[in-house]
Amino acid sequence: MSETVTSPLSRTFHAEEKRLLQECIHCGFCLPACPTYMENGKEMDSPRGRLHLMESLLEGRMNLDSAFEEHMKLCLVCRACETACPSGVQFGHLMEATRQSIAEVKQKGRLERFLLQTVLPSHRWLSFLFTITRVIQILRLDKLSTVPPLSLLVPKKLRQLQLSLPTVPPRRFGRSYDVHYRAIRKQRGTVTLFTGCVMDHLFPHVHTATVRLLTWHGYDVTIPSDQACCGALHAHAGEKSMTSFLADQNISILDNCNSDYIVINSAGCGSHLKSYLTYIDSGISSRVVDLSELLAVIEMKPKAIGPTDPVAYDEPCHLLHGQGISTQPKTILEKIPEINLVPLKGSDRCCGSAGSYSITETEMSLKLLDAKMDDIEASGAAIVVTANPGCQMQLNWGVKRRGINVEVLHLAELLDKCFRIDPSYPTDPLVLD
Amino acid sequence: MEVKTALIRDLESLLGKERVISHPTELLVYECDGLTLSRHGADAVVLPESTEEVSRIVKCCQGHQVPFLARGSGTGLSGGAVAAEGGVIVQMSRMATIIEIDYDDEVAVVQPGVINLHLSEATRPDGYHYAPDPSSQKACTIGGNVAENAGGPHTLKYGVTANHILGMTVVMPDGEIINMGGRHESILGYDLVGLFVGSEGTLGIVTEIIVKLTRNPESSKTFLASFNTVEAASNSVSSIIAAGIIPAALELIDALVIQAVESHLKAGFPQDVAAILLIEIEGLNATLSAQAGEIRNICHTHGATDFKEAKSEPERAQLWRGRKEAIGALGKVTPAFYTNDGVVPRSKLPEILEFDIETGKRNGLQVAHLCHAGDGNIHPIILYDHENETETKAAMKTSREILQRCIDLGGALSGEHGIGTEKLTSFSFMFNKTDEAQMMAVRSALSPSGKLNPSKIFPTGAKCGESKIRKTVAGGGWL
Ligand SMILES: Cc1cc2nc3c(=O)[nH]c(=O)nc-3n(C[C@H](O)[C@H](O)[C@H](O)COP(=O)(O)OP(=O)(O)OC[C@H]3O[C@@H](n4cnc5c(N)ncnc54)[C@H](O)[C@@H]3O)c2cc1C
Ligand code: SF4
Ligand code: SF4
Repeated sequence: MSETVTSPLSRTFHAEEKRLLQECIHCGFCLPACPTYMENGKEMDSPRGRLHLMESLLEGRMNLDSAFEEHMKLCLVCRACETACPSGVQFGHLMEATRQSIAEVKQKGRLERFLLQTVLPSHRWLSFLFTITRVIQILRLDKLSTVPPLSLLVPKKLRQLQLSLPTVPPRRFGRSYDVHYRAIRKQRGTVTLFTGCVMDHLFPHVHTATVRLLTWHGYDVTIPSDQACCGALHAHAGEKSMTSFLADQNISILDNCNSDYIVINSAGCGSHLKSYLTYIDSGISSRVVDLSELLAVIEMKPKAIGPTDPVAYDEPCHLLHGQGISTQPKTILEKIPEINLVPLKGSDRCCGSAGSYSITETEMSLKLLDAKMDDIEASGAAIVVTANPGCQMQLNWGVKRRGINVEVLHLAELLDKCFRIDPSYPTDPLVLD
Repeated sequence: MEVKTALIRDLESLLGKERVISHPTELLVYECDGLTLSRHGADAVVLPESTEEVSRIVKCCQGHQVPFLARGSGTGLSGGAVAAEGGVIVQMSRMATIIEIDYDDEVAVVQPGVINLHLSEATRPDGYHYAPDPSSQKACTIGGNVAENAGGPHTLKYGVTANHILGMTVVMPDGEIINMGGRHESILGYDLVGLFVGSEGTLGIVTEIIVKLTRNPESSKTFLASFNTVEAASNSVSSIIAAGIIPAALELIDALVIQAVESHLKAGFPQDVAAILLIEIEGLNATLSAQAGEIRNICHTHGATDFKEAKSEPERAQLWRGRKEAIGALGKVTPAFYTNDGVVPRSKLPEILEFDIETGKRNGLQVAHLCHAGDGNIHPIILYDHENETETKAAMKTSREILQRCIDLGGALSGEHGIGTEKLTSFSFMFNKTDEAQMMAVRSALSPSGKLNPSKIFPTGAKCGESKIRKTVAGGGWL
């Protein structure tokens, strides 16, 4: 490719990225897989269109203008296009490189910067803000902030964020010291549980369920303290230095754990730990497994939860497209006796959560959520199962908005519920110190 | 900088700003379709949501005397969906509703932007599907299929798109809305539907289509036969057809393609063979086994080294995925490829396949094959490096020589991809001046201003000629 001008992309598009870009044969197979294209029908908001824009910018045929930026920002990085592509184009990687270039020349909004740079990397900040949120929720001020005069004071994006948050639990899962849980039944091996940021603070009950399931099925579980946010959201947003800072911090901790596996129950984190180069190079990635990968191969006997409730599985993008995991969660669900699994149309399509997308691209995010809720209602499901905290928040928010009677559960929660019917199943896993 | 012309302002007042794309950066993505060799910039892209809006857009374009054309998913491989002379692209992606499915009459009424596969997905659970299945079916639109008269692997048994279209609503080049055909086959009057199907979007913009639904077969079997020579495989094809068997699909895939598929898609194709045949038969349970035996015998007579049946639905789906996405996999083993769409009578298959490979060799290039063998649709794929000017020229030369040979053997220029801008200069191989004049007369009668999709099919207009060869293309596209 001839480059007479230096393109704003050339800093992050090296020989390898350029080669990857060339692998697109412009066939368009990815178009119907792309949620943003299916929503607005515009080629610029399709994977092929976005690649075409990257190539044009690289060739100096256009500038990095606001139009370019807008179409890159509207991408969910759901990677559905990768699953659809016959040519194996690594779209996610190219999009991250593009966003890195954008981040170098254009500053993000204040709220987004604050969340990415200050809040997510720090458990202190997370605790502080979630405690405030909890107080607001208890005092029911969150509803108040939607009506004037408060609504005039609180920025719209913040209000949206606040409304979409689930009930904040009293405390996070992680501790300031390492915690070890001992396998309850026959020892199968040792695992380290990666606890993440939002998952740790908002979904401690999912982690607890995960630990109970793992120990019950024979795994010693270690929860190292000082684990940081995985950095996936930073990578998607093109925040290079923070992404590698967080990766280094996690690597230094996870490297010290001699466990057989690093178990992750958040699809987004799992996908990032498996595919981000720094994690791969450190050797961490090869030990990372999603909880469902581990549990699917274990012979287990959960109890029936009640045969009538229809259950639907909505596939998290970063499990399905990011890690190619689709059969395992279904295999696990099928192990639940008398389960009434119902098909969910569009279960492979993004719910619009996509990390911080629901805050940065609220309009598109809500459109995708609406489409998802239509499909959920049509499926007749009373329980929707997911395996990622972002999706769980978004789907919960969808249920709340519609005022419908649907329960959104993490796979670990549902499975744990089935086991808890068994009196010998532990309520509190055995802690070792 | 974006300068809003009177045209853009008028379009915006018709549709609102959100549905008119006129920013130069954004228009870049509309400069080509699946054929990246040929690029032309549009002045605007509009997103109508109803027949009436299309009609208003067309009238507006005529008023401003600018060219206009429809675009589906842009998977076309002949440069059909690009604004060859500038003007307005009418993007049909927001007209993508399945309006009605009627199993009593076995028809469906769809908007043109409906993705081909989505219709089959919607009807399959009820025992029906939409039979034309181009390899691009998961992405291309039914409107685009109508325009290109698309075919696919199962065309052998079920026929091309034309055999499945009963009626349509069309916005004519002057903006008038007309209905043609209906829910039932009719033999009264001129067969306008027949004229419009395959007209490559040059006679009108289709806004609603009544299609036939086909009952799912009672059962089907899929076989994979391996051969040590391409000739043995192509002879088997001729013999199967000669034996009076009409498989639902009969595809020939050669070693170059097999290697690409297996290194990337892992479809389960055998390696170390010269060619494979992918054969599917459908029908009543009772008759299938006998047919299967006959096909097996024929293949073995011609020296098949292996003949096996797909044992499960996932296995069958995997084989078809390998076939339908082969072209993508091929993209991984060559910097670029150029596909041509020549057709020969089936009996000439062994001869043309040998000719292709020889011609490639003579020009210093490799030629791969992924043929709808049952139809004699050969699809030679010429591998080349687009950054190498000599190779690029050699690829074009090879393609022209192959096309010329197809016609000499009594075949045709295009089996399914259309002429578009791509084969403009080859048009004269096939049609003489009188043929051309007759066709032009039809076009002029229906589109007197010539503003609808100009510079397509016929070598007329200001910018006709072989598509410009760019250094930056990722390759021609294909089946
Ligand atoms: C990998 C690959 C495999 C392919 N395999 C096959 C195959 O097996 N068989 C086959 O036949 N083709 C195949 N094609 C070619 C292509 O998919 C078909 O030609 C398809 O019909 C184009 O549909 P589209 O929606 O993408 O149309 P576009 O490419 O957008 O448009 C094609 C033409 O149709 C016109 N058009 C579109 N919509 C309308 C409308 N509503 N009214 C009037 N005119 C309209 C356009 O103006 C243009 O001239 C393949 C392409 C690729 C990339
Ligand atoms: S499917 Fe892959 S090769 Fe085809 S247009 Fe999309 S990204 Fe490019
Ligand atoms: S990552 Fe998702 S949103 Fe982005 S282009 Fe691919 S399919 Fe579309």
